[in-house]
Amino acid sequence: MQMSTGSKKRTIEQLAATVSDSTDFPDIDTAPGLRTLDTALRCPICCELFSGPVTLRCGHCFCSLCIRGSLAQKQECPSCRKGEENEGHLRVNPVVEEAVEAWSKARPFILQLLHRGGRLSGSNSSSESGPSNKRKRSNPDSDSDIELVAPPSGHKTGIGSGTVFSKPQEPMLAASPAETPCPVCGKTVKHEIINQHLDSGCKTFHLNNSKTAWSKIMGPRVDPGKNKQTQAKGKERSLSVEGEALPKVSYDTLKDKQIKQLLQDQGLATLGNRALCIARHQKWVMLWNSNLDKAPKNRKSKSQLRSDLDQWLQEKHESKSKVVVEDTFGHQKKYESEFKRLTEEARPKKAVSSQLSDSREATSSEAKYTDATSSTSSPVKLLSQSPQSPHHDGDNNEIEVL
Amino acid sequence: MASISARRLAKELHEIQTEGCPVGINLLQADDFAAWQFTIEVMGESLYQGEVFTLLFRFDKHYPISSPAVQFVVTDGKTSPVHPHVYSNGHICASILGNEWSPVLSVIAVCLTLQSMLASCKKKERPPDNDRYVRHAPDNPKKTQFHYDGNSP
Ligand SMILES: [Zn+2]
Ligand SMILES: [Zn+2]
Ligand SMILES: [Zn+2]
Repeated sequence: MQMSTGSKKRTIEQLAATVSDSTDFPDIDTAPGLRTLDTALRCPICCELFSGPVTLRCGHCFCSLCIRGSLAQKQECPSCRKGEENEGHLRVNPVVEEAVEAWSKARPFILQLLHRGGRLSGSNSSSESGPSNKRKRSNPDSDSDIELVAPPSGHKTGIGSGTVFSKPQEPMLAASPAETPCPVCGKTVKHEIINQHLDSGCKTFHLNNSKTAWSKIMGPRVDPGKNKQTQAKGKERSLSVEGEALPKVSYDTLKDKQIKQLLQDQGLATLGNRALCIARHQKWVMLWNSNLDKAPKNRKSKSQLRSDLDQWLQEKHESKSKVVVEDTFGHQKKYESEFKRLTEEARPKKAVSSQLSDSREATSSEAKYTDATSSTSSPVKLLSQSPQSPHHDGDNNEIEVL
Repeated sequence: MASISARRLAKELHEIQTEGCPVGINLLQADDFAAWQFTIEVMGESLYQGEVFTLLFRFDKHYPISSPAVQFVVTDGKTSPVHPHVYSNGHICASILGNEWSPVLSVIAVCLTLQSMLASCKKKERPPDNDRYVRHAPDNPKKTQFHYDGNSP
């Protein structure tokens, strides 16, 4: 490899973080409970530690963004297939969120202890990157936030709406009550725009929209389920304020102009045709609402959400420009480097055994399999809720070729 | 930063490589995020004793929200199992690959389901409409809307 040691190392760290999973921990005999705990705190859709965990009526828990994406496809619980679920049924799960936060801190620490105690094989590099906090989940700024806190005032520079002023300011601070020194640039900034100021990278000092800022302070945390039934009726309805869930829009009833207005109200680009505008707005509503399902301190800033949206649009564009599934070669070329990067780290650490780990068992919920000695004459049962085996209607073999 | 589908696949691969595949299933090739191949055989007593098949998975950018395209490889001298739900071009009529797909399923979960589908087979035969289907079948089995027992929407 011709990479400099620096970038090489960074790549490895990225990698280690990327492929972190419950197999980072020793098996159940060596370290009882650790793999299971790690699996339990992971979203079964993305397999990452929960980000903004929400619970469906059946009790199953997912990242807010993951389940919103899944429900948009099919209105059922992905784990137990209980039907008739929609975004309105989602309930935030702050207890799980806290557990995940604690676990994401404890995880590298425990891995390090295991490593020192010789419980992990030396090649397990994910444990090496452990203490460096690299694997902190999807909230890259949360670390720096903590450092950015101005110690005396004790508030986080929070991306979270409504948090900044939850505590009274330190009375001894020199700035007038309406102003506060920015913890980043040190300049005096008005209270109500401190979030906007920080989001802008210390460029904004003036309020763009007093209504927005006011509700930023006063606006209550809105239940994710609320407002879902309400449809956006033009401009007023869609004037979203920070901390308030965006209503789902039925775009069919809107003219192109109204859709662009919706985007404009959110400060989003209005480029592209109607379909793209709708896709952009839909995704934005998803990103926005799932962000609100996180505790205020874990939320992303509006600008972070915007770049998430941009990234999503770019990926969408890339996959649109060719049918990925059918252009295996082009896809392969394009992602070769990324893939190499991701998998190099995942090279076999031990010979591929025919035994299955407890963790996989946990991952694919009810999956049970036997080893070679017990015969497979009793067919493997997978996902108790799914059909035992695929069926083919013998009497009605019509096939529609699309 | 890698996309959600890339990260998810990287995790699945990581687990396969550290923990191994279930008995009778082996990773043949996973060089990218677009297509993976596995060999699959039924262990123990079955109509497929001694036969080894190759499964091809193809993923799009929305995996795991969207299902993978899965089929048996029928090139390079490989054949698809003779089974009432498997066409001679390798396409599979299995509800979990279509409307019963769930994003909590995984590549290995699909392999296991197909393995058990083969294991429980009572009679080796092609689907009754095999010839007609194969003549018009799209390259990507996901473009076919199979009809399953009573589960079709
Ligand atoms: Zn998730
Ligand atoms: Zn459920
Ligand atoms: Zn500043």
